[in-house]
Amino acid sequence: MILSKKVILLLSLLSLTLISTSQNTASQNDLIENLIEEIAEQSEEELDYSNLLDELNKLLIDPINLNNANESDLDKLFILNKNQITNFIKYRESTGQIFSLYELQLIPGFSSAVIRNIAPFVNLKQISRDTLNTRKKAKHILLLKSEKTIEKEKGYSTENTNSRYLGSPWKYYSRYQYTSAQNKISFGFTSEKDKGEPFFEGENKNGFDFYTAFVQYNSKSILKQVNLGDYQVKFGQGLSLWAGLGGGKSSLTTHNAYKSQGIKSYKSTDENQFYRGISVLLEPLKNVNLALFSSYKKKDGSLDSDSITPFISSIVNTGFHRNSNEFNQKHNLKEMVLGSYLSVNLNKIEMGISFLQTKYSPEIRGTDAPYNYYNYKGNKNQNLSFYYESQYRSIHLYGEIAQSKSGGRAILQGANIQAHPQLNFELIYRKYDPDYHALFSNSFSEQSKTQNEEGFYMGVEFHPYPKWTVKAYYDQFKFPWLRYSANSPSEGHEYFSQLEFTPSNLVSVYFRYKQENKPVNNSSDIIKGLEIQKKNQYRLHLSAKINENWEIRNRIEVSHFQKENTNENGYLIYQDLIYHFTKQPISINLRYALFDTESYNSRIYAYENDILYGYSVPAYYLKGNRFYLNFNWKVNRNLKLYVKYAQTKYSNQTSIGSSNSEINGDSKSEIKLLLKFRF
Amino acid sequence: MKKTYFLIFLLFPIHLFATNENHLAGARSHAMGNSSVALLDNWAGFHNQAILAKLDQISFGAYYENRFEIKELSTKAFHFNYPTKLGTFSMTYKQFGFNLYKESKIGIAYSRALGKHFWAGLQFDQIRKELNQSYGSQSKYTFEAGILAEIFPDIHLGFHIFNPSQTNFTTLDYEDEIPCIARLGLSWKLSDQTIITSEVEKDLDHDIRTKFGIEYGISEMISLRAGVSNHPNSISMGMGFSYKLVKSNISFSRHPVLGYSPSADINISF
Repeated sequence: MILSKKVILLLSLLSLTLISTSQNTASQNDLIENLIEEIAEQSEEELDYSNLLDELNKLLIDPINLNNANESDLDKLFILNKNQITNFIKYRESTGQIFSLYELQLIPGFSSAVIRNIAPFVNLKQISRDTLNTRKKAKHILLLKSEKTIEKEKGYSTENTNSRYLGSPWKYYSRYQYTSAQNKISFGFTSEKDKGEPFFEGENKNGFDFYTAFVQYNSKSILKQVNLGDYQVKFGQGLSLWAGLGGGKSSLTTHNAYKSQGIKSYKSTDENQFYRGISVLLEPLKNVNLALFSSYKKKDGSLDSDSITPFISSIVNTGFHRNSNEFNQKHNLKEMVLGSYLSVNLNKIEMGISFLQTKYSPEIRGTDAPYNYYNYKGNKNQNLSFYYESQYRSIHLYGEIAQSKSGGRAILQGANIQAHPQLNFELIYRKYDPDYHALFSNSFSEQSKTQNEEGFYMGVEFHPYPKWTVKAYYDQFKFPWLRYSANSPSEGHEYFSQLEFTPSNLVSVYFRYKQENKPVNNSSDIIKGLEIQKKNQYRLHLSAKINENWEIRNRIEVSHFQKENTNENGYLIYQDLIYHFTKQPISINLRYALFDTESYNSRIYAYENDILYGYSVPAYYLKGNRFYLNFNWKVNRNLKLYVKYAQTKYSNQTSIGSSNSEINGDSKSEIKLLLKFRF
Repeated sequence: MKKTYFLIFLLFPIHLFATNENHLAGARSHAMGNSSVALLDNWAGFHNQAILAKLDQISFGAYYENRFEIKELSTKAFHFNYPTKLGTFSMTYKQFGFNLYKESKIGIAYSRALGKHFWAGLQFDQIRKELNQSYGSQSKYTFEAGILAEIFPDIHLGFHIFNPSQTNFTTLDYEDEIPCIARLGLSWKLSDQTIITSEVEKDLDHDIRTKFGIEYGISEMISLRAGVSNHPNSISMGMGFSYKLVKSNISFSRHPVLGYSPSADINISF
């Protein structure tokens, strides 16, 4: 054993140089891609990933030192689950300092693929040297961004005065953030004007359409954290309190346990998923946290009236206020929130309880559609929830149970088991009643709501040989009540498998197969019954760093859609070229993609490189090509410039999009600019 | 709800009753998605007789399964394995149904090693079906056979075929077939605690089924299991307890429409 350890040390010293020079963007991108692509595929709405990207970017600038990181630091890596973290800490306790990332392969649950993924976000500084480095400076970050669709959409020129866009086609965004030297105080603001929204004119006399600001104070006393302004709360497994992005099923098949994150200041541009007010986090005893928070804000919603009282028939989450139709929905709903949670972290077990009270004015009613029968109605809601998590040997158990004012309950119970150093599997059972109402939840589920669902999930990650990884999951779900697109209770399943080969830390290839069977309404004109909708996807993906300058990524993806008599195929093929200049701090990123699908049904999603904090996962559908060019230039220590130009050209269309976003012609192009100042 | 499904069974009995299955038993296999064609287990007399030759202890056990939590769809099974120097002899009995409809199967098997890494087994079966008095009963004789090979250290490959002679029940107005089923699968013993299994099953008249299973021993006494299979899509889980001579397993599987099927067994080996 001692001998083998020495050999490894030697090997690792040799390879140290290799790894440190290959802080490759390839793996960093692969990770973000994995996390985001899957979430985007499952969500119909456009989500805001900027908080997630923000955290990953923070790690890129200030990587986690594996030699002194504690459990909560490692939680930030997203890619490591509880079992891997526990094993890592055990390993470090028994062997002392870690000298090379390759050494991590000795730890149960770590493979070369995992190491390749975390490499950009960690470093291995010696602890002694690290202590000299404590004199940190205060940080300011300022971001300025604007973007525009070059072709004119119909909304800018339509005759209809209600739907005509009132502003310019430019999108403007700015963000400023200050963090004090000891990380005691941070504050900042974000403002945004979407494409088509008025700017210093009309309804938006104050300039931007959306503003958010925060102040956060941290200390080591009883008063641990105070937030003023906008913040988010993430508690337990997300059954009652989880603002913003959750996990969702992804190619990280055994990483579905949520980690309570407590209260965080809000910097994103989603106009709904946050609280606005004040929050206080106390630590009266060691490892006991008590949080109290309150919020008051206005949300968008369509206002209706039954001749006596006004009510909200639906909540609008887009955040767009471009024409008078959309302005009529702006800020119609007042939302008051009072909440608190208490969590205790004992050595082996962590648990917490939360209570949340929400008041709405006017009341929310929803439509009379049968699928809406159990949906939230009224002007008051309460949520009570309890969660726990525990590590026993190589089993990580976690769960939450919650109840809303209606009496509806939600339960989630999961287990992650490191059955063997090379084999990790995860089982999750969840049951959310049709009448469980939690308007701030975002938990593990097939649907976007924590409601009307029961299911079993099994995921596995297996490293049969050092360079090979097999990942798979199977999820069986049932919807006890109707859904928007399904006129009766229904059930379905989803299957995913991926075989990954990582011959070195510069090259990775995977093949993926994914299948989803889910019943939806058929196209009958008389009585709509259910029909099974089948989706199959096959993907082959390669990413490689060829030398210091060149990186490539290739993908071929085939999708198959089947429902009733419809049988459709879709194809996507793309080539990415990434070039880093050696003499200049410039990199260029190019994609050319060809796609051919019969309709939107057989669409294919693919993550795109974007400007910093930007994200896009466009759906490729119909027939045509798309290319984009990304240009990143680090002008000096304090200033970075990002530019993106993208164009999609369809071969069989004379117009793109529908209603207000329709464009005449066969191509759509977009330009984005971002400046980042750090001082 | 369950009653309705039960009525549906009675209307279309042929495919939903047990004859279109491979007459499987054992809660350990059940918990692992029935992917047991290469899994070393006391209940191998129901999965792959070749495995019996690897057993080195006399064992007997009883099994009970309650399909979809309906009393009338329950299965009872028993096994008795007797390893000798010449090979292992085994007897199995299985009964499914209730007083109006009953199926039973008696099997007598012999299994032995054919070399260091190769085992084979053969079993003769009597399959009997009893409907209520006015329809009478029928017995048929068929056989099944299996082989097991250790293709790499700790990786076993198993193949099993049931009713290759395609023996059927003789009926007047409908086809009552005893299915012909072939299964091919692997088991991989990663460590003393951890086994993964997978298997494909082809019934001549039905879609090909794929199955996966995992077993993990958290301690000497307790192990956890999980499995999935398709056609129909089902998920299963279970636990095993072992104390001295006694081993006991519990499990359940979940059919997407018909719901849960719990099962349990108890074994004694010495």
